[in-house]
Order: sequence, then structure tokens, then C-alpha cells
Amino acid sequence: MSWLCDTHGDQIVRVTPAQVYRLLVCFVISVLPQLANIPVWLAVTTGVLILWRVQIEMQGHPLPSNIVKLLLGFALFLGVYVEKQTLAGKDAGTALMVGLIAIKFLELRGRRDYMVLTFVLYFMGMTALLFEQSMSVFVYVIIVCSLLTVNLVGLHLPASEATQSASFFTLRMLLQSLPLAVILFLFFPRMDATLGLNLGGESTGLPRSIRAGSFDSLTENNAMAFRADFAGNPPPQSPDLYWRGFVLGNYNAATNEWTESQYLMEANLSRNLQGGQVVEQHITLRPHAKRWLFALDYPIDDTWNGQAELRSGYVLQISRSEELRRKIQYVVYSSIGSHPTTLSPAMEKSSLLITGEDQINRKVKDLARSLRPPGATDMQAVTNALAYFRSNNFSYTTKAENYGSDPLYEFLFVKRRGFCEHYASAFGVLMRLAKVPTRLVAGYQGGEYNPYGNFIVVRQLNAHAWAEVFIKGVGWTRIDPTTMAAPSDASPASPNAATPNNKPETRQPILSRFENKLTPDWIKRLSTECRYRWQLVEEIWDYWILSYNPEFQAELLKKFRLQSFAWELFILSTATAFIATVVMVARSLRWKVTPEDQLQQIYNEFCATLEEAGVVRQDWEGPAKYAARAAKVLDHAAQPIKKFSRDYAFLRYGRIRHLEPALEPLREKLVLVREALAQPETKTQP
Amino acid sequence: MKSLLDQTLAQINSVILGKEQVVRLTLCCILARGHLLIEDVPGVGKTTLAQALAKSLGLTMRRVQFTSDLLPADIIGNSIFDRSEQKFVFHAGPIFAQMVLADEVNRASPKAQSALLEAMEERQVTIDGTTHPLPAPFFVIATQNPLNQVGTYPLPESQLDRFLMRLELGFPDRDAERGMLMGGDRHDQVKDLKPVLTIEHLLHWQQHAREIHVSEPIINYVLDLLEASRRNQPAGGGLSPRAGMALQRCAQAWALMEGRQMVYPEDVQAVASAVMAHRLGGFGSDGSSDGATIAERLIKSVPAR
Repeated sequence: MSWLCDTHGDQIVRVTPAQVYRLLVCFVISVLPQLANIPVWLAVTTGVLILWRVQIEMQGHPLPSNIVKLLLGFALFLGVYVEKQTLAGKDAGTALMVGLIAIKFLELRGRRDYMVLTFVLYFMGMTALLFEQSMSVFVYVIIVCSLLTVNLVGLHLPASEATQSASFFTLRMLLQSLPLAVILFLFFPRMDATLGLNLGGESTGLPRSIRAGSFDSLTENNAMAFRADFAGNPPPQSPDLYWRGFVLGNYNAATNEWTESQYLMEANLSRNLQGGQVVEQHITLRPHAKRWLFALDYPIDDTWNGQAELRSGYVLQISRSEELRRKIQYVVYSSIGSHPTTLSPAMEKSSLLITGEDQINRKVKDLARSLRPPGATDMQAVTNALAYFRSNNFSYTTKAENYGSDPLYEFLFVKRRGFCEHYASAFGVLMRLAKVPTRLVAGYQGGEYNPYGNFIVVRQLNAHAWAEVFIKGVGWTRIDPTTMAAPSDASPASPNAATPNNKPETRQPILSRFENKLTPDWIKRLSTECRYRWQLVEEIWDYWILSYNPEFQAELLKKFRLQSFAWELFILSTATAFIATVVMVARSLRWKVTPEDQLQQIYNEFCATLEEAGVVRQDWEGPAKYAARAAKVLDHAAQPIKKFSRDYAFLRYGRIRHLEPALEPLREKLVLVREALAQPETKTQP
Repeated sequence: MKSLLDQTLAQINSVILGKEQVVRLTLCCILARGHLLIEDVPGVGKTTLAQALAKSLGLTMRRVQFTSDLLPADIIGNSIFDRSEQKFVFHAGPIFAQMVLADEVNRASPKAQSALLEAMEERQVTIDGTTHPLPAPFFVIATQNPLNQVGTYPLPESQLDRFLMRLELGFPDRDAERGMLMGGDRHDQVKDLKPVLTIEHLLHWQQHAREIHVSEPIINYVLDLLEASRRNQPAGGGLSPRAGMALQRCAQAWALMEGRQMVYPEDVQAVASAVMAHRLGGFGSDGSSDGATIAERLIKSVPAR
């Protein structure tokens, strides 16, 4: 391990201040993307430690003692534990790493520490990818790694060599390693952790149950839930963009909570759909730590290579009892605009059930009764309920509010404003009270259509809940009571129109409204366009790079009929690429085509020409002697041969400062030799 | 300059018939500021060559005949007490000449040989604590009888190394010999020779020879030759670094004589045999492969650069 040695003979090799500063800069750059993920006190401490290290270096103070470092380390562990309640997981791990690296800088003395820190910083830079894998983060990580490599190369170059040559060297190294990286990317066997590794990511996505306030955390959440491509077809219109997640069939009046219904056998799901038009969707679903997948109303078959099955209530659910912790892609077919037609007695019973019905406020019950006067049909009850919402000045809001101990009453009679879950939940309860079979559906609604990529991006703020009622003769029918609150937006003209959730103007602070007015139209258009384009780029990146998962890899191998050789293929191709890389690197190190080499090349061509004419050069023969011999034999070309070899010898053995300009004339003389040799011998002889 | 050289060569060749190449090499040796060993049977013109050379170059020449009872003082001189001046006076020996002909150098005892070779190497003589520089130019031509003759002390290899070149005159061919028989007495001819060059010319050219450009490929070529000579050799065999320098110096002088400002591989090859043969040993001990043959083979085994 001599390269790790701090000593050179008896002399300790210390790193120079400039090298320390450079590594500190690399550290700061690699930590920047983590600033949002680490506690504030840690960021401040890290900054202080960095400044301390700089001060030590500038004033030549001794480095702090081991006890100081030990205490700092202990405090760091304690702080992180108090903050995160754990020392495991990516959040705590990253925080520990940042702090420990900052402390490690306090004992950066020799080359060995420097190397250790450099390699740890490589890892530090890459931790950004644990949190986000967008292309911009990738580019950033590559920049961090390149900087570190430049620094590392610079450490090993003699001090006189400029940073420029180190950068060039690094760039070349990166380029040379590219083929190997591509091979590793394509063929390295992907782990079959089907549902991904849980790195302790936050479980975003829909709540498991619906009650007042359960959607609060999503209203401002701009994170992407999933992306839907439509295989070249135009996307469905906005009124059909209801992305079905799961069905909530149980209502508990005591808690005003809707929960997932028990498993009910519902046979022939796909055949029981009436009407509608089949739409193919390619969905890239981000992990949401739940078991359901999303599709437009109503999915008609199992999906994700059979790993997700279509269950009762047209819910796509992962067959295994595991939750989705990595991004997946699946193709799903939906029949939009259709109605499921089955309602078994058991289903009807559960669709009307209200647990603890006596807990419901009398006024609510009265309202339900008034919605369905005796003799009215189910449909009339539905219409009446919607009319109630419309006519009683209900409004839409995303503000989290306290609805007190009886949220249902509070919403229907006092506040009269709320988020989708309030509307859906209240509507569902009213319908059940009015004896209309009802269930709630949670999922997403709408989404942002990207015209350049022909896909729809659905974000968490598109989360939505709606109701389904069973109308005899029609089947289950989707009713979205939320649209009653904002009637003007009930049917947006274009698919990319804003969704109900982030709609009302009143939600925006005055400043941004002001800003909106002042911004010229073309800037808005331009920024929209830029956003779409960038989104497209990100999605292409996502589709081709990030989504290269075990299934995708298996498919690729299958395409080339190589699926049974996965491991062998990997080893083979990696070995090939590795050897090729090594050979390439070795060559590039050796192969500097100097003018001298070119000169030699020309002479070799000359010798080959003469050899073709029958005069073979002995390898010990000098050029002058060889030319004299050749000229004697090849009499008709004697002049050009002599001229060429005289010039060559002069260039080869003379004191030539700039060889390069002389090469072209020499080549011309070689051409003359060839021409002379090509002429028939008799012509030149008198 | 070339014409002057050619003139010199022509004049010597008019005395030494049919030995153009040897004469040329001799001159090359002088230009490279080296000493020359001529090895051959008596009577082929060794002494005549030396005399013709000295005359043509306008050098003073002294001759030392080496015998088995020759003492170092007979070569370098000694201090004799002068009564009238009441002190020792140094009487310079025959070595204090611009050109010294050491005839039959292998007949003398090793002690006398060493005295000569030391002087050759250092170009100065130290007697009784006083250093006496030898004249410049200083050039020794030693002749030697073939070693298989009786009564010789062969020069050790380390001393052979001090001679820049070793040449063999060899018997002249029939035409040349006829010319000699018809041409009258060689001694008279030599006596009649007029100096073509001056010492200034010679010194200037010697200086010039050192400035001839030796390019990287040539240096590599010389290194290749040295390496090849050492390969597959018993311990201590092969060419010494001094031989490498000698080769380079001679090639430079040869290139100068060819009228060039740079050394070609051909120049190295032209002088290689003369420079390497006596250093590669082999001669005498093994009749089948004398130094010259080994040198030839060596050259053909190394690709020119």
C-alpha cells in the first residue's frame, strides 16, 4: 500500500494549503444538494468547521486534538439521533456523513487522509441521487465527481503541471471509461428486489382512508405521482381523466371516516363493463408505499406482468402483500366512459352500510330524507344532492381547517367549504342515508398534459376523491360532487387546464396576483413552453435511463434471445469492455503521433514502394546506402530515389527544428518516386 | 575543405598504393583525435604510411622502436643532473612530438607499453613531480606484429581500448604492388612530399568534427550496437562505454570527411569495424572469428535507425 504512505523515505509528505482548499471546495459543492435534507444546525456546524479548517491552514495553527474530534463526533451522533430518532436510513445516514466528513477535515494532514477524504467525497456527491434522480441532479453529480477527479489527478501530477492538463486528463479518462459504464448499465444484472429497497423515503401519496383533513398534506405537494403515456394516441378529454386508485366502501359514522371495503368477490370484472372506449396507457408510477396502481376508470385487466391484479371494485392491486417502494412501469387498458353493471346482494348491503348510524347528526339525517322524498328514484336523489351543494353557496378551498368534533355537520351546515374529501365524504353519507348504494373512490383527477411528449403528468396535488353510485339500469356511475362547488371548472376545455384543487383565485396571495397581471403574456407562454420542453427532456431521461429496471432489462435481453445467459453475458461483455478500455488507455498513453513518427511512416512507405519494385531493404542498411543500391538497380527512377532519400536522411539525422512543414514536400517526392517507378523502364532509358 | 582533404588523401595514396580505405580511416582517426593501432606483418608499409601522413599534415614526427629492453624513460625522457647549472634538467623523450610512431609496440615489456599508453591517454607526462604537456595535436600510431609471432607481449584488452582504431593494412593487390615496384624507392618519395595541410587546419577540423550533429536516432543506433555486443557475451565481454564514445567520435569525423554536417548510420558503419574489432577481442584466441568478423556480424544484426 505504498501509494497510501504519508512518508517519502523519512520525510512526511504533507498536503499543501492549496490542496486543502481545493478539497474543501469540493466538499462544499458535494454537500450543496443535501442542504435541504440535513438539519439546519448541522449545516451551520459544518460551515463553522470548514471555516475553522481554513483558519488553521492560513495561520498555521496545529490541528485540534483527538479529544476535541471525539467530542465533536459524539455530539454529532447525539444530535442526529435526537433529530431523526434513528441513526439508520438515508436521512440520518447523510446527516452523519456530512458531519463526519467535516470533522475528518480537522485531521487532514498527509496524503493518506487526503485520499480517504477524496473517496468519501465521491460517495458524498453521489448521495444526492438517493434523494432525487432527475437529470439535473445527475449532471450535478457528474460535475462533482469530475471536480474530485481533477483534484485527484492534480494531486498526482508534478506541481508544475497546470490544472488545465489535469482537467484534460480527467476528461479523457471519463470518456475512456464511458463504454465500460454503458456495458455495466445495460448488462449488470438488476437486483430483483421487485418492490425496491426501502431507504426510508417519505411515504407520499394518497391516504389510506378518507376523513376530514386527510388530503391536507397533498394540496400543496407538487411532487409527481405518475406519468401516463398514450402509445401515440391522443389522450382522453379532461372529464374522463379520473385515475382510479382504490375504493372506500366502509363508512364509520363515529369517526366520520371512509375506509377500504373488505374483499368481495366480483367475478368477470372486465365483461361486466358496459359501453365505453378502450384506452391504452403506459404508466410510470413513482413509489408511494401502498399496494395499489392507478389507471383511468375502469381498468379491464391485470397488469404489470401479472404482478398486479384487478380486484373487486376495479382496483388494481399488487398481488404480493408488499408495498411499492420503487418506480415501476406498466401498461394498462381502461374502458373509459363505461359503467360496471354488477351489484350483488352482498355488495348492495355493504354499499348502504353505515357503522354507528345513530351517531350521525339529526340535521344530516333530515337533509338526507329531504333529498329523497318518498317515491323518488335513486337518480333523483343524486340530482337533489348535487343541487343542494350547488344552490347552498358551497365553495372550494384547500386550506386546512378545523371542522370540530362533528365534521360532517360542520361542513354541510356551517362552513360550507372544503376540499374534495369533504364533498365526496358528505355526498357518500347522504346517499347511503338516502338508501342509494354508494362507495367512494380515491385516486387522481386531471393532470398536466405535455403537448410535446403526448403524456400527462399527474402530481400529488391532483389527488382526488369522488363517489360512485349504483343506478339501476345503468350501473355504477361516477359522481363528482366537488365540481358542484366550482361549477365553472366542472368541464375544463383542455386536458391541461388547472384541476379543481389548485383553482380558485382567492387562494393566491395578493402579490402573486399582482405579478400575474404585470407579467406580459408572451413571457407566460414562453415559460410554459420551456417548462413543457424541460419536462419532456426529464421524462425522456426518466423513460430511458431511470426506468431501466429488471423488467426492462429482461425485455431487452429477450429481444436478442439472450435471456438465459444474463450472467454469462454480463461477465463476457464486461470483460470485453474492460479489456478494450485498458487497451485504449494504454494506446492513448503511448500513441502520440509525433512528426518524427510521421517521417518514419513516410520512409516506411518509401521502402515498401521500393520493395514492390524488387529492392528489399536489409534492416541494418542506412538510407543512403539503400538508396544507392536501389538507384543502381532501378535505373529509371534513380533520380527521384536519390532525391527522396537525401531529403529523408537530412530530415532524420540533421538538426531540424521544425520538422512538420518539411513532411509534405517529402511526401511529394515519394509520389515522384512512385510515378517514376510506374513508368515503363524502357521509356527513360535512351 | 573537402578539396583540401581529398588532396591530402590523394597525396598519401600516391605513396601507399591501393589502400584508399585504410588511409581514409587513418585520417578519420586523426580528425577524431584518437590514436591508431596498425597491426600487420612487417613490410607492408606501416611506417611509410605514418611518415607520409606526418609529412602531408605538416606534423613533426618521432619514431620509437620498441624492443624488449626498452624502458619508460626511453620513451618519455628523464631528468639528468646538469653540473653547470647545479640542478636536474628534463630531457624530453621521443614522445614529445606531434606524431609518434611506436613501432612494434608489442615487442616491449608491459612496463614500457604502459608508459606510452598513459601518455597517450592523458596527453601529458609527469616526471619528478613536474607535469609536461605534450604538443597538440598529439597523435600516436602504434604498429604491432601479429600476435602469433614469437617474442611478443600482447597488449592487454584494457590498453587496446585506448586506441581509437585498429587497422590492418594487408597485402596490396597485384596492381598496387606492380605500381610499387615500378615507382622506385618509397623513402625518397616520402621525403619529397610537401605538407598539404597546416596544423591550424587540422586543429580547426578536429574542432569541427566534434560539432557534427549526432541526432537522436544515431545515438539510439550506437546504443543498440553496444547493447547487441554485450548480449550473449561472457561476463565482461562486449563493448565498453568508451567504445561507444569512440564510435560516435569516429562517425562524426567520418561524416565531416564526407562533407556532411550530420552523422548518418552509414558513417557509423564505415568506422565500426575499425573501432570495434580490437575491443571485441576474439582475435588470436579463436582463429575462426576475429574481431573484424564479429564486428561485421554485429553491424548486420542491428537494424539501422
